[in-house]
Amino acid sequence: MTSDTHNLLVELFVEELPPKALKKLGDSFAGVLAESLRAQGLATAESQATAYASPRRLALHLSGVAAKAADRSETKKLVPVSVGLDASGQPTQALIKKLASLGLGAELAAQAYREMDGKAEALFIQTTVAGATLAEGLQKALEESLAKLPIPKVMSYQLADGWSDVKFVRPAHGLVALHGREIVPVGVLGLSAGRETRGHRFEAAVERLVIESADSYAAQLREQGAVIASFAERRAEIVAQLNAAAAQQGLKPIEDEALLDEVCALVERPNVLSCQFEPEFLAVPQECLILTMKANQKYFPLLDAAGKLTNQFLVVSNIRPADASAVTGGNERVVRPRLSDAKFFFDQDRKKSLADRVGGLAKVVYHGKLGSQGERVERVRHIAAAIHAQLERAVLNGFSAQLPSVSDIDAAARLAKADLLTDMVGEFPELQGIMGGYYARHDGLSEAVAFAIEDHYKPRFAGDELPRNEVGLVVALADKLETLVGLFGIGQLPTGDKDPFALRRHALGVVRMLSDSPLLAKLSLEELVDAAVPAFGSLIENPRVKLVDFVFDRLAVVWRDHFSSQEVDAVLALRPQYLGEVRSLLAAVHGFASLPEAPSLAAANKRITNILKKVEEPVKAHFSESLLQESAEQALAAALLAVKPTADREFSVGAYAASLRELAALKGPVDAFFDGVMVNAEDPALRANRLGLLKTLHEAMNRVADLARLAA
Amino acid sequence: MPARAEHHGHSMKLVILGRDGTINQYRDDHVKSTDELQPLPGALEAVARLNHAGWHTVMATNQPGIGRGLLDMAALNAVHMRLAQLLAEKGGRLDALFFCPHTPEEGCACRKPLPGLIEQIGERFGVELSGVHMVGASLKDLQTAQAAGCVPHLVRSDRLGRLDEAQLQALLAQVPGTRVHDNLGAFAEHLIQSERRARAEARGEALTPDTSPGDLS
Repeated sequence: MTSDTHNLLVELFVEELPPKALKKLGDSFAGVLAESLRAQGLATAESQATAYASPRRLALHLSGVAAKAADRSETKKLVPVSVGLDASGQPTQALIKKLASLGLGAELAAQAYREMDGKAEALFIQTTVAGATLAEGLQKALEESLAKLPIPKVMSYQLADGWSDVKFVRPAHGLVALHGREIVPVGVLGLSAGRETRGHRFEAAVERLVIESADSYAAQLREQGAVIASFAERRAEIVAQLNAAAAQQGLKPIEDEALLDEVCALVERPNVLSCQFEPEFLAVPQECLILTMKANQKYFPLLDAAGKLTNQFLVVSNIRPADASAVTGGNERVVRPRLSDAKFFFDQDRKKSLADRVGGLAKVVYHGKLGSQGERVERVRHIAAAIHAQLERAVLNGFSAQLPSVSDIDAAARLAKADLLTDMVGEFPELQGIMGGYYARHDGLSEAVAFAIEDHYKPRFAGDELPRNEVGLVVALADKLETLVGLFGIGQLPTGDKDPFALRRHALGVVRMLSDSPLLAKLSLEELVDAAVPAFGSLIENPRVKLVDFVFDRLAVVWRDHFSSQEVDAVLALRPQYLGEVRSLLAAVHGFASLPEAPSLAAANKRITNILKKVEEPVKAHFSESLLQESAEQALAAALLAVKPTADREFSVGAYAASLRELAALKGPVDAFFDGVMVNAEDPALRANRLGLLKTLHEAMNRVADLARLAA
Repeated sequence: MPARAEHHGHSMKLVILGRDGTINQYRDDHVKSTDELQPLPGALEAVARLNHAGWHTVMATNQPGIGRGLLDMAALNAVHMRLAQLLAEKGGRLDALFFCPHTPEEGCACRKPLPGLIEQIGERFGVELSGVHMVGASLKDLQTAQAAGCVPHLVRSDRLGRLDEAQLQALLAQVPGTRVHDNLGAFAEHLIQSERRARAEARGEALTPDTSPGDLS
């Protein structure tokens, strides 16, 4: 780079940007600008990009930006040699015309050189393309950056000329573009670049900031403008102030990254203030109070050492008045009605029991084809009872577990959705379930039922906990099955990124519960689907195949994070009955895949699979030793009989890895078999016996996974 | 939960507010400086309360004092800056302030009761005006709302508080469908409660009595 290389600063000054989008807007604005300038050769890979984003500005500081990109040499194809040169090797008129079309003089014909172009020889020339000036390049980069901004909703506004309409995320009022100390003459959105911007709406020391150079931007904004322009710096400042203010009272602010981002997008210079509300509101469940304060007010409630909500909260203010009491008083006054709403809802809701609300669910539409919430509740009850019956059968078959009582399960299933009709959940849908738990306790229901009502939406996201008790596990599973079976049963499957009923999330919930809950470990997915179907009467078709495929797809996605695709495919191809065993099956296959014998055994299995697939008559997993003629087949049979009892025993007790290791000993005999034995013998009896031997081997080897899928 | 209640439809929740008599005390001689800006009791808190309930608030005001030369743009900006700051102290904000600087004699299209200013707001925010609530403190504000197709609301916190019932009815007869509130706080409460009532009805419940937020002032 030359001495014309300086740091660049670009700022777009706008009206308050949508807070939830600010971070993305800032990253995108700066990212696309920098990338475009690099692509145009105006900046290098070493150029450091610093993005700035505040409620009223998006900006980029980029180091090492050239005033002009270097000229580039480019190879241009002219014409085929046969066209471009005459018999004596002199340039033809066609060649001179072609040069002219590229803006090149006839004298340059002498610089044309021959090179093969496909099958024929053609003439080429090296030309020099002038590099873009910074003004050209930045203009292009800015237009690109604005076009690519992830704008949630455009606003239209008029320019000062009173005629032109502009559509942009918010009205833009200023553009700064400085290369070192010099203005770069560019323009967008009806604005011409200059060096003037504005600071904080209320607190700037000067009305108009004249930015001296690209490098003084951030410091001038901070000192004269009372603005911390960097999103990350401002966020860190908020965190530091929140922690300091909380520590003064021996308390801790709630942790909420999304709230921090949003608040950071609302202030240009944060000022954290301590406020409080009347302690009598603490009688309201703390989930309600916390949600009210952070969702609507953007306040940070303070918790004590035990994690219990206190009546103290922190406000991140954009202003820093000499007398902070106006701000604290103002915020305390406006939070009161919100908290009193919450208290009012809580008091009102408790006047009517959950049981008394159940009837009202019949009036709430769930789905045009699947009826009301009331009908849905009846189906969840039915499915929950069916799950309980399956658990009882498992216990009869030797599964040891403490089963929850049928009456608790039914009570929880019946009341689980009643809180949807309460005022609190009407106001804060996020509290569904949680409020049900509170109201159930108030109604005098058992803890088992209250926990189950509270937990039956769990797990709601990856990493969320499972329902905490057995009743909750059964009801939560029934609830998710009802959703999946019902919507799959009427053919309402998710397509692409459209999943309005969150069926992927429900399926992942089923996967999590069946995989991780010891109580549910002996329930089979297919049987569960079949058991849920009767609850729908004639409303649906049994969606078993599609639904089980769908759930297994989710399962595959989950496990591909931990095992190779081939290993996951090998295990899931067999559709293991109990999802809880998938982990150990995968571990066994993973162990097997790392054995030296694995590649050749996987290939052999693939071969056996193909051979058996081609046979038209049914093949039994049986062979008779008397029909084994060749030494290689006798050796394989002997080896198989030697390892099979141990492998079988280990498989039956779930020692899958050991079982596969045992079978790995068959590598030598299997290889020798395929080297020395012709399976398709002419004698049908011999042929059938060999197929029977292979089938026996195949069955023994493919109980843990379809090993052929490990073959390269 | 598939049947989860949606708070609001596609369009933005927007309220258009008048200024003088709605947010601050009306003055016959115009609010010419920050000293003359006197917020009505509880009005700023009411704006904050609306914001916290998810409403965007935009102000629309006639400022013929500009056209008459009684105050200049710098003074008007200072007044509005002060208003924004007082509002920020309560945790509220205006999304935008639209004003008409013309005198009646200039014959512009944006001076209330013509709907020009309100239509500009509709275009700016991309909202269908028929669902937008507009609250003001004068017959002119109500007529503006009517002309723009907004839902008209009247607050009686300032001058109109002195009207007797007959006078009020005579005024309301000119803009049918107007809802009357004692002050901006009562208007905010009305809006929040009707939204709740609509949501309760959507889930098949009759809403229990309105919540009582207490006095905002």
